[in-house]
Amino acid sequence: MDWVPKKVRHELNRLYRMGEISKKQLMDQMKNGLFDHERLAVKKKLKRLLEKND
Amino acid sequence: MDISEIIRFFERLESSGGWFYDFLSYFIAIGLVLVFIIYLIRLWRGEINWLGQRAEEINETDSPQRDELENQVTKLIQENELLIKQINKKDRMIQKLTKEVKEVKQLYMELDERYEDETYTMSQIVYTAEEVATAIVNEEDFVKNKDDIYDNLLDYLINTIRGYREKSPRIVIHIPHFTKEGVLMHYAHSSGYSHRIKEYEPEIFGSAVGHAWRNNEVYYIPDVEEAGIEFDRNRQAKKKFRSLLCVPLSAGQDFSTCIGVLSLTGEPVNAYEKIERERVVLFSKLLYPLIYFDLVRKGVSANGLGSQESKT
Repeated sequence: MDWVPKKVRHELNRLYRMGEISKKQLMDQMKNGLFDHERLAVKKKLKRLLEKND
Repeated sequence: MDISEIIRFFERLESSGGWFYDFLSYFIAIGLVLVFIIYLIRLWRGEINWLGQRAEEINETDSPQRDELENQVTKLIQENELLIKQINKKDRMIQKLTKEVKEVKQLYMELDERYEDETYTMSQIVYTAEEVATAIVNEEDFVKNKDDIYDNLLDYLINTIRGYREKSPRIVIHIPHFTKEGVLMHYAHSSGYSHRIKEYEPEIFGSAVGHAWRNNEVYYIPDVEEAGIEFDRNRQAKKKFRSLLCVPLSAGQDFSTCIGVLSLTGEPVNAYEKIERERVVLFSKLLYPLIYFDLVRKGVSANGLGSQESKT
């Protein structure tokens, strides 16, 4: 969960503008887990709960 | 008359050799056969049981047990109906709960998607803040690569817009003209515009950019083709757009701190949701220090730029 280096970010910007990567790919690669751990933890809990009740 | 006398009477009849004895024997035999046939017929019909008891008699005998059994059966039927009703009720409840769980799951998915969008926006904010700081610290590099730096900074803002392909968002930053009066001039723009965008100088009166500049307030036009809006219809743009958002670059409400206007176009009508407009305002605040730094560096006073005089 490190910040994405500037060069990589700029390349991601370019690839997204060119339509070579999707918004989802851009989001995932830009974030690289940054600010996202709490959301993912809650999502994991929900997934477990659903699996348990299914 | 006892039994012995009856026996003696029949012995006399037999010894006398008369016809009456034979007749009596046949009569009794035929009578017994007929009784047996009648018994079989009635047994077959169910009118009697094998002991010869009549059905009515049997019913009369079993009546209390039968009543009790009938009561039990009636009770069981009633209980069964009640149970079926309860099961149906539970079924309906389960169906309702299943539907609600499904709705909650959908809401969660929607909330999660938006939460993800927000965390992603946070990353774009961090990168913008970092690159603004880097540009201020490395003045030489900033001067040399100003266009590229703004290209990427504005890309971070555009990255937070939903539906990039449909909306084709493009950004231009205008500042007051250094030499001409009554117009603003190009300062920076995002990718997607041709260099001719630099030639566009919006009027302070009669353009959406000018409106935001004069009033130091966010000016959102959901449809530029609507009548009665302040908008420069001769605006040069490579692509057609229907939505326009103009955000003054200022520090708070003070007019004197306003150093320019950031405008964002969108192809469809009412392209930008409230959250997106709020993000544009947020990014305008992030970019402010760098633009301010650049203008001060060039020797243009921020007070001069945003003064009341420059707005009239």
